Amino acid sequence: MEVGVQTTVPTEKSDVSVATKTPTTLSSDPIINFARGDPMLYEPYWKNKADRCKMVILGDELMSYFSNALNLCWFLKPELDHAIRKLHRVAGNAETDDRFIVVGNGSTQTYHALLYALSSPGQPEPISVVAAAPFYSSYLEETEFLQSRLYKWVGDANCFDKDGAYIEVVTSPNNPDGSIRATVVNREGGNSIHDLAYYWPQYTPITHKADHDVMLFTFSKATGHAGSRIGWAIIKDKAIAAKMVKFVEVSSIGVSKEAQLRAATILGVISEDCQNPGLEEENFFEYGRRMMSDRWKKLREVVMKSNGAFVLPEYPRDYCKFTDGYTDSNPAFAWLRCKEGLNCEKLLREECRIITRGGTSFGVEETYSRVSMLCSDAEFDFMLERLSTIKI
Amino acid sequence: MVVGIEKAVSPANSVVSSARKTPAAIPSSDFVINLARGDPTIYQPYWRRMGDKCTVVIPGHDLMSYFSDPGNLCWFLMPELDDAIRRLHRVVGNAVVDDDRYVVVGTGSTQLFQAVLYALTSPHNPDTEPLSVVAAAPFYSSYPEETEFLRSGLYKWAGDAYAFDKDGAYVECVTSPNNPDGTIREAVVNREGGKHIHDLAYYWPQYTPITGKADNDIMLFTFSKATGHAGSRIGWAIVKDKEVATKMVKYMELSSIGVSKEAQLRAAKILEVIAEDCVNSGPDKEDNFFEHAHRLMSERWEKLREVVKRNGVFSLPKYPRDFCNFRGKDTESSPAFAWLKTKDGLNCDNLLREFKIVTRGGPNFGVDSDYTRISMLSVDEEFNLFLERLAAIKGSINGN
Repeated sequence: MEVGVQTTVPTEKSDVSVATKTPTTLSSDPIINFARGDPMLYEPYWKNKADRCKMVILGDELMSYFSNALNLCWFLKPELDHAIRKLHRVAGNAETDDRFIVVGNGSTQTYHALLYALSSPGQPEPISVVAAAPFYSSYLEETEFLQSRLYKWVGDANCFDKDGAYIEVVTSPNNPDGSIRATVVNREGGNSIHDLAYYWPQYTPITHKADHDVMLFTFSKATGHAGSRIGWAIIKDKAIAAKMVKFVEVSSIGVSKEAQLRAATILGVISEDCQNPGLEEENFFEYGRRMMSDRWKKLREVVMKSNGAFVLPEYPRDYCKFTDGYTDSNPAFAWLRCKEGLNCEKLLREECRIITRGGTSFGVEETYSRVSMLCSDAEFDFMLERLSTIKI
Repeated sequence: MVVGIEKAVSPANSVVSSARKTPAAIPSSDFVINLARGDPTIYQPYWRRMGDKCTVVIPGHDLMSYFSDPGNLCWFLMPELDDAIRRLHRVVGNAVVDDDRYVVVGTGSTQLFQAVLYALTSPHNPDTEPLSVVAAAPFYSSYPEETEFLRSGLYKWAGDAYAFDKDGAYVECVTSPNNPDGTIREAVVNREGGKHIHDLAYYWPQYTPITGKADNDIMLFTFSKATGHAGSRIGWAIVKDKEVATKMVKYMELSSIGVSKEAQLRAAKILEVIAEDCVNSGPDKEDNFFEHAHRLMSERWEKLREVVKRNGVFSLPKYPRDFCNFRGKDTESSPAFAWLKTKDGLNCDNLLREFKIVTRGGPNFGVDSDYTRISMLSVDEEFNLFLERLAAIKGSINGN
């Protein structure tokens, strides 16, 4: 399906204004929002570690603009740099040796920084930006909202046949459908951005150390701390890293030091636990995998009982080096498909009073919709209950 | 003078490489003093003395959600920060923040400036020209780059507001007190079709008399210059128009899905402590932050003026005294930057560099090179070393 510039589901109404339970005018049942991936399922785990992960900041700390004048990324706190590299070594999910780390206000900002770094003002045409459908719903709007002459959203990588330079964004595991992805446009003149937000043991088997030129990660989906606004890029090429640093400088003169320190603390605790053979309780990734696995099992049961009202993708088992065994995929989002001819998002909203994000936001048909699996326990149970009531 | 995109002092070398070296660690004659960027480390000793009063403790499970206050237009703004901002402005009396004004938080006022440009230009009709963005020279050196670096089709840097004569819509950035020269400013282009951004980063009692509550449609403030906490990356906008505020929030969503909650909580704590101290100030109590900061800035300016008067090579602007409503007395201006000028037309930035003082030259601000901007916010050691070197310049020139 060829996709031009589609308008995404307006976020003001669907995601934000009903982020908490609110009664509707049509019935007394509240509508619950599963359209955005607010990762509250991890809160109980961190509550148990509240004290160990506690962060104390004195009034005179973290005041300067500068974090590390000797580093290319001068606003990156050394503690966070160290914690990121350590965690990737422990999880075994990405190569960080001889790489530059650039921190951003969420991987959202590092994505923007990359568009800037991979494009050039001297070109006659803006560089084409593509991603294979179904693609992350925010890429389009994030790429186009400032109508930059440096880069331009062109759409589905599967249909991309323009000449010239291009940037392909590869999300793996993919958002929305959880599939493992590789580049689709494999020709001269291309750069790829590998968005590995979900390449962590709780979502997918860690089959190898990702080793791309440009890799993005986010604190939000790794540990659940979405409110901190921390993301990072692992970059091979110094010139690209330098340009990303310039972007973050001009757009926000760096990244909050409090948030960086918080991320360093939390990532540090995870690494420590993973490396502790005497640890009695579950480490974070074990906990996350158990939670996600339970949830997917329950969801699949409900979907099976729906008599074909919905289907879910199947994922292959694979060998996870972190777990040292074969594991399933348990993606952060459920990619529901309903019967042909039906609008899945509308169906879920009207019949189940659940807000989700429909397929057209991701460049595919409206028979699909994306449902967050990262909500709190209470909301998840609520969602299952509602889904099981559907009658087609 | 109309200015295109000027290259600012290359930060990678001059600002960063010596940002961390302390004077004590290096022989004073070799140490390069970098006063090009306004890193507000002057306030650190004050906050150190405040001790536990401002300590913030964040347990592992706090602040996890994307959302802060879904019922608020600015859904990522923490209510504690919203309250603290409004309270502080009421206490200081430097801006109108009635309940009908919207507060939008940003990752520094840098991000908010760009959010305003977006808010004033979207939705964009592709048949119309990009919105002209102007500011009266000397203007804040980052405005041109922040406006142009993404080559947006929505807006375009059009240079010095004094020389602006294009038809059509425009937005004028009014910084008051001004960066770099500390003057009190008003809009210069006063015709139809114009919007204004009032950047009030320095409209606090330590820099300038608070003569009235600022009451503009769009006002920007920054935590960095108010209290010295530049590393937090917190700024806020006070906005009259709901649609403008809504679009700014949209910008923040698309560019970074909100603002770090840890930083917001920290800013809330510190602003609260300041407001509380201001309200509880008295003859027996210690100075509140603004009184203390005013004294620091005032002392530095006195010392600087003395050195400049004695060596006769440079001049500084004069500022009128005015009644400060906050302090309850006539007060001098003590701007965050010294706007130094060479008397004989020499390139001021280059001259100071020969004496290992790095500053930001006039062309970055849209004016001639006989001016340069010098941060007054560095640590004591650096400021004193700077004065020493500045005093020595007279001798060197006369010796030639």
